[in-house]
Amino acid sequence: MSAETKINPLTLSRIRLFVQLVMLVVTVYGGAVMGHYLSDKISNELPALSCVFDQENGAYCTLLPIQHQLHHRVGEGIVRLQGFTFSMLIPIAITLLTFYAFFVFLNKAFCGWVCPLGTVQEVLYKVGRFVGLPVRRLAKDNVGRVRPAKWMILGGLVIVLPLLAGLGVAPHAAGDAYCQVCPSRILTTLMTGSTEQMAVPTSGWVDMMFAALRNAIFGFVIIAAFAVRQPFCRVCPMLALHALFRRLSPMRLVKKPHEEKCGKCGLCAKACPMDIHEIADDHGHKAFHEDCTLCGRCAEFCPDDDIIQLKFGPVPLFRSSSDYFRNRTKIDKPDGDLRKPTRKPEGAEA
Amino acid sequence: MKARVLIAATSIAVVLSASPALSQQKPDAGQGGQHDHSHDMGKPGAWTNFPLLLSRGSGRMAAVFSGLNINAGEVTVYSPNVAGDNAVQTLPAQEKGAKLKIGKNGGYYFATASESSGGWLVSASTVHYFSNPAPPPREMLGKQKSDLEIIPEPLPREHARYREGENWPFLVRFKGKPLPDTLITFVSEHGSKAHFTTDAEGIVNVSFPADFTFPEPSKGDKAGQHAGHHRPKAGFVLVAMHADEGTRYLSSFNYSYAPGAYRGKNLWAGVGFGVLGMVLAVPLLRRRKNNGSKGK
Repeated sequence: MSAETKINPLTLSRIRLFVQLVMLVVTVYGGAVMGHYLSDKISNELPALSCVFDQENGAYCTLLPIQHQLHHRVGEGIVRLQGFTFSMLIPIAITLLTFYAFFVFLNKAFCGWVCPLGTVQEVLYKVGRFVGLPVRRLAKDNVGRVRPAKWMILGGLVIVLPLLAGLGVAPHAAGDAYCQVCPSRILTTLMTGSTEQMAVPTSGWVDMMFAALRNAIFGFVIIAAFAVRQPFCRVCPMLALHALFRRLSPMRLVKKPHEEKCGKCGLCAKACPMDIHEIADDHGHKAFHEDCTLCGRCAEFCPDDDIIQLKFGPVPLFRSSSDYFRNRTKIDKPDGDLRKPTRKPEGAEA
Repeated sequence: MKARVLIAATSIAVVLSASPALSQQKPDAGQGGQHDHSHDMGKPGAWTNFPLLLSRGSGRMAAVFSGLNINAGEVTVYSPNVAGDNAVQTLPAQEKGAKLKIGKNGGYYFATASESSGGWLVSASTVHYFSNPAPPPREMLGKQKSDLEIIPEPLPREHARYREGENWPFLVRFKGKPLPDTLITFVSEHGSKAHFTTDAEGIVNVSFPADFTFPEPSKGDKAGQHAGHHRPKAGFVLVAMHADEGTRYLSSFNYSYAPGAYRGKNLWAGVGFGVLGMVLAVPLLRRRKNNGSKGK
């Protein structure tokens, strides 16, 4: 093999996969080493779906304390005091500040590099490519229909329903409405050998409906992930919560204006697992979209030097380059297809 | 083995009848012989004659401890923050119990009360959990708190509980050292009784009996109440005895346990809904005739 065709195996995607797998072990099984009490954990405000129902976990997802505080501190507090005081918001403010203390360093990379559910979906997608299953992408005009779902779930299940449960308007089971339907609750506990979170309560219809929905969503996501990149991430309320804070971190995605080098080839958009078409069309702050998980694939598959960068403050952590692109495309295609470029490409992705 | 159990049980019964503390027991008390499905810890003790130290929350930052079947003038409470100002507090036992107010540290607080009479040293212990952040209770549990102790090793994690059908280890210590080959008696509020023996390291693995029945009475789902605190639970007590240098020791540890993981649930229904979700996603895996391998 000549020097020109030699493939450098050390790519950003492979480094990221290694980090993801390490974090999968830490978040799902880390408690076995760190200790099983809450204060032994990395945090109970982790900006990733490290499920609290997993008894072996190394950290708690921040969505549960947010729901509990809205339920017990705010909703129940309003009923007890027959009114609202700003002091009721202090616990949730502390929760969000703790969340931000972690988030500020990695920003939305918690989705692309840390979240155990995200990692499993990516691995399943790779399996789908390995066995030659079709790729399902959201077309430019369809992706906009899906994007509001994450905001609706954040607003409805994480904020409104827990609040209503505290006020006594919604049933108690709605006090952690999002956790009731979160597929990570089943995935992470199954990974520790427990089927407990799959079991459907038979004592009340609300609990029963939540558990049925949780199982159905889990089943759908597991199969869909073979053909669709990150199917659940697109509607995940954590993605929405990250989007609210993404401008408040020095870690970010940067894309230079089109006029400099960008040829609008669209490879960056094809590489994006969240189907963010804007990465090809826009630049500046618009390119760092609310759905971005900072996985870096757009930068990997950009053939032009320095157009797309992952930066921490002024420091570029990774930047697109033509040399890297040539090497990278020898391993897989922008959509993750494992077929080598020497084979005849199919469809528009070639 | 059975003979030892019988001797120990008889001995404990003698202790109970001899101890003046137990003269306060309710007239209808029977030693674990009743099936009482009440979860109101405000009327405890009807299910056992053993000494109990009961706790109840009093707001988010306070708890009240009261002894039952034991005459204790004070309750000693150990904070999980062993380096803090209030690492150990001695609270006077008043008519309504001994009230503990905590500072910023929550977590598990270990409480113990003791009584000495007629050559017997009787002690009762429990834990109370506050939801505020706290150091892990590991170091606090490791410290000697009384002569004969039953120490949970570990306590259930936050957001978890002892549950029926599960095995949990407890350490039995005497004067700070593990006490091997010691008989431990378990009695539950639902009337289950069992005996266990500590191993060479003083550890006893307690198997919580599956003695809940459903449907359980539902409590506290009214607006403004912390309804999650009214999930079904039942009390249990572990009792150990030991004799040393002419003094006889009886110690108990009481707390609560909850229904098992699958009690009132149907796993196969969950599997069915999971499969339904999978079936709904299967069309995504099918190739479309006119679209090559690329779905849109």
